[in-house]
Amino acid sequence: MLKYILKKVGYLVVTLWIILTATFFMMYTMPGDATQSSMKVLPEAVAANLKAKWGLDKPVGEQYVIYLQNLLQGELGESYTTPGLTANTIIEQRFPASLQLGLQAVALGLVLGIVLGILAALHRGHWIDFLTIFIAILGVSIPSFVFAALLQKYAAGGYFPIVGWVTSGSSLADQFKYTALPTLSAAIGGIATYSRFMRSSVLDVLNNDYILLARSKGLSRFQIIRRHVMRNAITPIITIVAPQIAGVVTGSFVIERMFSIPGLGRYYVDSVNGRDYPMILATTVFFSFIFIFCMVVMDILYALVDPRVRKGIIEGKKAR
Amino acid sequence: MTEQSTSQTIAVPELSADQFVRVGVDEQLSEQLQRPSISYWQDGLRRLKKNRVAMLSLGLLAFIILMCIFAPLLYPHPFDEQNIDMTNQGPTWQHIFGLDDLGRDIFARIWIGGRVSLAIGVVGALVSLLVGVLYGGISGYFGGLVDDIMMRIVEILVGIPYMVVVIIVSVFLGKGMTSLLLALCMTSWTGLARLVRGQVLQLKESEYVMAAKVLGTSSYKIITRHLIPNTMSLIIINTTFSIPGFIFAEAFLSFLGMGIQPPLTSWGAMASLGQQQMAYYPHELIFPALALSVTMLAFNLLGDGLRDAFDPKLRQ
Amino acid sequence: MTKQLLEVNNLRISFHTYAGEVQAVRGVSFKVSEGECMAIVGESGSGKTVTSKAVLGLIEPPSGEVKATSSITFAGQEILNFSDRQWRNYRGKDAAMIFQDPMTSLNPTMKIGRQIMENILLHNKISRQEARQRTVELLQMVNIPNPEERLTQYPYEFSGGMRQRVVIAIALACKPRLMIADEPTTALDVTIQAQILQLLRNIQQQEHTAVIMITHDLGVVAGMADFISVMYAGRIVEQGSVIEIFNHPQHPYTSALLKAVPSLSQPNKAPLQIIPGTPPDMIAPPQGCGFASRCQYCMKICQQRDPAYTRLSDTHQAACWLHEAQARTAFGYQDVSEVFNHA
Repeated sequence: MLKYILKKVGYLVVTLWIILTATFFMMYTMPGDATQSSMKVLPEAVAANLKAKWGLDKPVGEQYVIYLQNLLQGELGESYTTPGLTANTIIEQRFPASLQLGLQAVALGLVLGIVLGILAALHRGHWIDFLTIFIAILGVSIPSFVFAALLQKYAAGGYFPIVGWVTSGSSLADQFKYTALPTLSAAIGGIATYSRFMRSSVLDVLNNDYILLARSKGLSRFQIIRRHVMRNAITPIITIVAPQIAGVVTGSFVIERMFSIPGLGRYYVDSVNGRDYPMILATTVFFSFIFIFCMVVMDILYALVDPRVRKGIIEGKKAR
Repeated sequence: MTEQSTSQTIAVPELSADQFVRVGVDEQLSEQLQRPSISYWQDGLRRLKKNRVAMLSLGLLAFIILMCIFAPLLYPHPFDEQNIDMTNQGPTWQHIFGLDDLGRDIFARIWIGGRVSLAIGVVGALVSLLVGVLYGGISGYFGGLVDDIMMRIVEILVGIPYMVVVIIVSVFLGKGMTSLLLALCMTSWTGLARLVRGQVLQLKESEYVMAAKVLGTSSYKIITRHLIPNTMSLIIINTTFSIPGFIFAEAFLSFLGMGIQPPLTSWGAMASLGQQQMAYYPHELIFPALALSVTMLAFNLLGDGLRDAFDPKLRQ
Repeated sequence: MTKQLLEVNNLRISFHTYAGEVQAVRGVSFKVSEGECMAIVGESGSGKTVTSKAVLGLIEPPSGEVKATSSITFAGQEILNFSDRQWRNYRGKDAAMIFQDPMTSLNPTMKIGRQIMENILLHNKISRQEARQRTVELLQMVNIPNPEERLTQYPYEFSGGMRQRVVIAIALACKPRLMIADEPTTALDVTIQAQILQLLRNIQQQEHTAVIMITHDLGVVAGMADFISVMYAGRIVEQGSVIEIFNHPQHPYTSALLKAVPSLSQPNKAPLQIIPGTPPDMIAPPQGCGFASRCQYCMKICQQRDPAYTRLSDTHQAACWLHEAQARTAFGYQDVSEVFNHA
């Protein structure tokens, strides 16, 4: 098991290194003198300072080494367009909002999706089943920005503000008021995916012989669902939660823009449009890290929860 | 079992002696009793045709594609014509979907935008299909070390968030259709490659392929009779689902201003413009959003139908 | 005489599929007494598993339908009229089932001990500690070494034969009066098969449990069963004691089945007997005898009308037109077994 975790962490490091290196060199070889020219807005002294610290007048190989050294010390980069602004500060300021939005959206998606999916599977052909199928299919067909726009037009304006966000000191009522609509917009894709997945997962499990055995023991429907269906049906959802988190991150680029949420996603898009290269690099690395980290955690979690997967890992990679 | 016991048999009156004539095993008859055997594809098509939702989606998609091809040719207003005096006008008889903030006809723009959106969806799906099938096929077919190395690479690629790749590539190559397609293709084929590889590996070890080999079936026949029918359905289903995936991704990026650049447009780009006018002129968002959503819906429903009809695991 | 425990009367079961109504079981009747082992023999698709599931009420609507004319009585009670609660009390406690494939019939994410205890705790008002003790005893009874340790293991840590022992232990947990074993050894290695059969036989004798053994393997039946019902195309074509069926088969299908079993006493190069053709499609069951199209003694009448049962002894009956007096005069034989050429 430890070996498996180490292997996964190894992948994380390698993947991150590849992304980082590729991005670094792509940014460096940007057409023309774009990289340096964007620094013209900076005061002379700040620019010189930057050049010295990041080795900007040295050959690219050395710059890369310097960059890696700084990175290992926890410094992600410094802005070319705003004097004295470091990527670390930006992440500290901006990430909490993105994280809160992301976590709330994933949680809402999971809870609603799982509940709807189970209910639908257990009541096949019932209205709740049709409702779930309807939500599932609309959720993957309507982009979240359309959904968000509709919410802004028709649900917001009264109790729910159209734009804005909360700080850690906000009251609970404010928390709800400001985050409800963005969370719902960001969660809609997740609700759709999870409920659909859950529905077929439960139906799958119900077809198993061990459910028949459980029935032949005389367990009630409720007991069978609680003891034999739930765990077996929910466990595989872990495999799709990780990629979904990517969806929430990308979705948040859009949602943060639409609701004017001071999150990292919005900053990322702004820095791309403003061609602030060190910040693009820093946020790319950070986003990739979050993403890969989630994938690795989910892989490990899955192995811990499902004894079959655990066995596959212990016996070797046969069961991949 | 003495004779006495057998004598008390069923007394049915209308039995006649000529009914007790031996017929013998009639091979012909015993085979005829079976349901007519239909091939895998025939059966799948029959199921698909019976699926009204899927057929409706297919019809809808055909309609949308035809409109994208012909509507701009027939409609009197070109997509980049500006009517400065009528900006943001709602739907009228002359401009059936209304005009946008620069006074351009939304109906005309929807079909031009549709060309772009659909082209990205189809081209992207085809490229990732080609790469995915080849990569997965080679990896699964050779197995061993080749497979190990190729799958390690995939595992690393899977770990890269595709939105980030798209953004980085579009920063690097400049915004627009080419970089968008390139970036989307770079990351999207891994799923299919894994799927195909898994299928090939499984088939290679399956008992019926083993049996076919033992019986001296040629590799050509094994590939055409077993490998292709078994993987084909999965590939078709996967591709049907990946087209809306590409359209979706394009829409998101264009919405963020990183995809299609003016003067060209796409549904996502139109929705992005429309969203800014949402508060006062909702038609500018609603029509492109509707076009996008209906297309997505049709592809997803068609994909569901195809899966129900062709997925070997779901049949029976 | 032993007390009658189960009586199945005119059981009819259909499944509604998109292709039409599949008449899986078409009028099956049989009786099982306490402590007795009845085997239902037949090829796949003959309706034997469906019959056994019906006895535990495991036929699920809306696709599966037990026809209203059917009757199943257990210890004098009509079980087809059971309420949900009565079913739950009956399942697992009065009657239990062993399934075909031990690799899939255990919940992969639940520890073995819990899967057995679950059954005990459900039907008995005892503490977890006592239930645990009973579970250990059960595992000992089915010859699983180190039961204490095994309790906390997951199914994947068990071999196929061991898992089947666990499934048997689950079935035995509440000392049921009736145990249904649906091809309990089909999925196992031959050597393990013998062990499992031995185990079942011992338990049956020890606990005086009635057993319905579903199988397609006549070898399994010979060592285990008291009575045999031969099923074909959703009907029982012949019923009798083991000796009657093996020594004096009175239905061409039974006879063909027996001939299809390879035997050591046969000459070395004797060809293996096969039954040509395939069973009929139960969506459109044939009008006459279900076996007619594959029967080498088939007569015109067989294709037109279904034969009724001919009583051959208290325990033996067969449904075949060959027993009809007119058939015997037409072909000139006294006993049907003369026709089949059994030694």
